[in-house]
This record gives sequence, structure tokens and C-alpha cells, in this order.
Amino acid sequence: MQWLYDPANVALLTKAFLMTLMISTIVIVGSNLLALPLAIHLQRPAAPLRRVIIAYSFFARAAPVLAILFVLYYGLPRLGIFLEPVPSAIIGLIFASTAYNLEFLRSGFEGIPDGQTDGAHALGLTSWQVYRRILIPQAYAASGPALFSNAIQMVKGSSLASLVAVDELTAASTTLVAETYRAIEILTFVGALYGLIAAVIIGLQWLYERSLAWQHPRR
Amino acid sequence: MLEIALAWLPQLFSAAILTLALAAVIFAISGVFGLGLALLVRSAASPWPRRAAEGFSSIFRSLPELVVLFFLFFGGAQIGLDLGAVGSTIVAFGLVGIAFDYQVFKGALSAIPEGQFDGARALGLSRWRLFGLVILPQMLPLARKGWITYAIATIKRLSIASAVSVSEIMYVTKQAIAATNEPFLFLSIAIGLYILIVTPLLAFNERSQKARR
Repeated sequence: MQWLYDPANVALLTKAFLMTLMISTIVIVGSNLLALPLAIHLQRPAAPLRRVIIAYSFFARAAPVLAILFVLYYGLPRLGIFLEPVPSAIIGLIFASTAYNLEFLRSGFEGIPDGQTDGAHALGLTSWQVYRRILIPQAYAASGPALFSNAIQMVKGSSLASLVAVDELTAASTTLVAETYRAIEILTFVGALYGLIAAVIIGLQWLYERSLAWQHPRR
Repeated sequence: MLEIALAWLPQLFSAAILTLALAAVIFAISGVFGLGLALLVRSAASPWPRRAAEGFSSIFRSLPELVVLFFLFFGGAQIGLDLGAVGSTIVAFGLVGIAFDYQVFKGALSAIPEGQFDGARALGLSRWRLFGLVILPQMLPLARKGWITYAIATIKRLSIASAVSVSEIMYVTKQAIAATNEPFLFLSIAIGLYILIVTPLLAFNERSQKARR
């Protein structure tokens, strides 16, 4: 573990770890914020742009994330748009992940019996109140596990940014491996850092599910 | 533009074949070992096989495939175990695949009531016939959706093997872009190939979901 005593290597890894944390956080928050309004919008059968959103969702789930990142990385400069590698990778990752969150939330909404909406309207609740009080909490309770495991997928997916010139954790590990030839130690260490982030997300999921159990003790 | 695309088409086609072949080998490895592990854990009397399997599965489900791939590719070379690019890809995706398939099969297995096991044993079925004739036919329909979902993810994720120069679809696409400076043309072809491969699987999953409702 000699390589870890070199302050330059520690600085490189710390910076890279923070970059991975930042990209993952922005992608997780961004894709969840975009997915909810899209999922709610699709609940209306005659929603405008319904076909466009469904086509987007299909495309984003059928194309590999790496291909989407390459479109932004190699394609945008051809159109005269020059983005830094980090924002370009973040946009690509959000584009890919939002589609999955959208589908999880959609099936969360579709699992709720129609009678609940009808009943709530009959009680005089406005559409906004029906979503806020009745539908959204249940959709999240149903899709929670899928949304949390997708969050872990996004952390793992951030490693693909290393292939489009972003200096995040995986890129730093290959730099260090090339310099020191200590592949096993370095990649185990970096793997443990990814495991740590995943463990934090699993911990948050546990807290979330415990708070649900507290709100609905009979479930 | 059409001429440029046609010139690269044979290479892109063989890249797609390589992606499919790698996927087939990886599905076989992860399906067989994932199922075996789930059955082993279920039939073991001691809690240790379950703990070991869960530990293995949590580790390989939380690591990025790219890190596992680099670990085998560069780490193997460090200790003189040269798996090569294709070998590292198969082992890396195989390990991650076993970790996921184990969860899929474990879930399906847990949905089968204990009485099925007791009943089959009471009929005097051997362990192999119990799993082959009673448990497996009930498990597979339950496991199918999760298995296909993961299979789709694997086919797409195989694109990262381009990072260790496996000449699958994304690697050839990158080469074509470097040679011709036509990123949109070749990325459209590449994404088109993935959609062609993945769509039947996605459609199958969505249809079986509707049928169940």
C-alpha cells in the first residue's frame, strides 16, 4: 500500500472521489426531479406529447449509457456546441436514468386502484390534493425499492464518465495503475469506496422504509 | 455518407455478433451459477452458505462493472494471470451476473411454499427430481421477468468492454468515428443495432407484465 503514502496520490483519489460523489448526487436528484412530473403527466390518457415521452423512455432504456455519453461527447462539437466533459456526462447520465425512474413511478401510479381517485374527488378534493395526499405517497411507497436500487445503478453508471474524459474515481484508478502497477490494491481500494457509497444509499433506503412502516403500522 | 456507412458495415456486423456471443456465454455462466447458488443456499442446513452468498452478491452488485473489469484485466496481469480482454470481460460480467441472478432466483424460490418441498419429499422424489420436476417449473415463470431485465442491462453494459479493446459494437463505432469524423452516423447505427437486439426482450417483458394484470 506504499502508493497510498504519496500525498499526490491521496490528493488525486480524494478529488476523484468527490467528483464521483458530486456527479452521482446531481444525477440521482436530477433524474428523480424530472421523472415525477413526467410520470404524473402520463397518467392522463390524452396527455400532450405522450407519444414523445414514451418514445424517449423506450430509446433511453434501449440505448447503452455509453452510447448516449458518446453522442454528447463526439456529437455536440460537430454541431458547434462545446460543453465541458463534466456537464456533458451529467446530462447524458440524467437522460439515461430519468427513463428508468419514470417507468418505476408510472407502474407505482398504475398499481393504485382507480376507485381511490374517484373517491377522493367525490369527497371534494382538488386534483392537486388527490396527487399530493393520495396518489404520490402510494406511488413512492410502491416504487421506493426500485428507485433506491436505481440510485445505486447511477453511482455505478458514473464510472462510465471516465470513458469520456471525466476525472472521476474510475479514471483516477486507471491513472494510478498506469503509474504504480499496483492494480489489485488500487482497484480494491477504489471498489471499497464505491461500496461505501452504495452502503450509504442502502442505509437511506432502510431509514425510508422504516419511516413508512411507522406511518402505516398495519402494513 | 451511405458509402462510408457501407464500408464499415461488415465490421459493425461482426462486432454485433461478438456482443451477442459474449452475452450468450455470460448469460449461461450467470444463470447456471446463480441458480445453483440459490438452490444450494435454500437446501443448506447451516446459515453460512447463505451469509457467504449474500456477501458475494452485495459486493458484486455494488461495484461498477468497469472497476471489476479493470481489476481482472490489470490485476490479472499483475499476478501473471493473463485472462486477456475477452476473458476478463467474460469473468467480470459473469461474476456480476451471478450476483444478480442469485437474487432473482432466490426471490423466485422464496415464493414457492414449503409444502411443495414437503409434498415432493413425502412422495419419495430424489433431490434432483424434486428440483427438476417440482420446484424448477414453478420457479422459472417467476424468475423470468427479473432475469430478462438483467439480461437487457448486460447486453447494453457490455459496451464498456470497449475500454479494454474488445472489438464489440462501441469499440468499432469509436474506431469508425476516429477514421471518418462522422459521429452521428456511426452512433445512430450503433444505437440502432442495440435497439434491434434489445427490443424483442423489452417487448416480451412488457407483454408478460400486461398478461399478468
